[in-house]
Amino acid sequence: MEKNVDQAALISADILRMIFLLLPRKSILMLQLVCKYWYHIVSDPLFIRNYRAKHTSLFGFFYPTSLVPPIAFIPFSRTATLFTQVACIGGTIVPPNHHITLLDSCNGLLICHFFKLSGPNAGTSAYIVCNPITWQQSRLPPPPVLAGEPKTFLVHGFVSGASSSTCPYSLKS
Amino acid sequence: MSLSPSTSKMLSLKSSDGKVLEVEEHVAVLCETIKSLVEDGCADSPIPLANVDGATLGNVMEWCKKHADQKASADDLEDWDAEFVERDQGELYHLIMAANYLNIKGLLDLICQKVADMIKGKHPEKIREIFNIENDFTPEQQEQIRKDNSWAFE
Repeated sequence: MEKNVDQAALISADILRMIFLLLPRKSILMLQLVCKYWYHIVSDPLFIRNYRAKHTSLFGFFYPTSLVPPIAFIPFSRTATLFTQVACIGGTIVPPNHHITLLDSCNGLLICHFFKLSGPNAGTSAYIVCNPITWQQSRLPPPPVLAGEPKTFLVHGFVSGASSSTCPYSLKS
Repeated sequence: MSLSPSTSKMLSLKSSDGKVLEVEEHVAVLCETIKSLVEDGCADSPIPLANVDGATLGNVMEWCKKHADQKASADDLEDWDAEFVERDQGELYHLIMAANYLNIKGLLDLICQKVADMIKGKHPEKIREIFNIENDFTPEQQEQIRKDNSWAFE
């Protein structure tokens, strides 16, 4: 067992992915800086998708009802229907003709992707941060699009705080 | 009642460095790779395991033996596993590769968790040091990644 030089570099990407999936989000970002090989593994869209599926921090919503018991729970789902339902109950922010996807939550705030289905500006989309208690919302500046790249984004993580200079929220794409 | 050691059939496993290990079948079949060989009736001669050296094979079978023991309680196994992974990195590396090759999910999960614990909360410099990884980024590339994720490095 004396020659353990560079063994980590020899571990297959499959095994590294298994290990990385067990780590908290902050560690994943540290891994990007270790070496190019690790950077590519954690930047891979498939890895990010698997990671997000495993580490979702949003379980669902409690909302008031006129029934007994007066509080009901809607489990989190990535489909828009349930959220629209809750948003209607909350009385609310969802504009008509929009498809909404809940992406993540952090510190009690939600980040959603709004996609306009019809009417003027159909096909445009925006990232909105909203507070599900007060229904206050704030539109994020559009993520930068690199020339020649398809207009698709994968949200890596969502952090709210005062660290960013232009906007109190940051979207990691 | 499970098979007692005296009635369990023995299998011969041959490591990459030519060492032959006699293992009870009900222990060895914790390796899915060996289990399929047994089920297909291909496990008569010493089973050649080209990717596992003798010392590692011994460690792997020690784990399988403990986990094949029906009398071991969950708490007992947990304590035993925690001690089992207290090894140097070279051994962990060989174990993880062997667990993957032999397809032993429980052992693979255990060592992946151990390695994840070694990484968790560490800075890139420390991780490189632990795993002996060369930094192949230019300072500019490194700065760019740091800038993109500045919130995480505060």
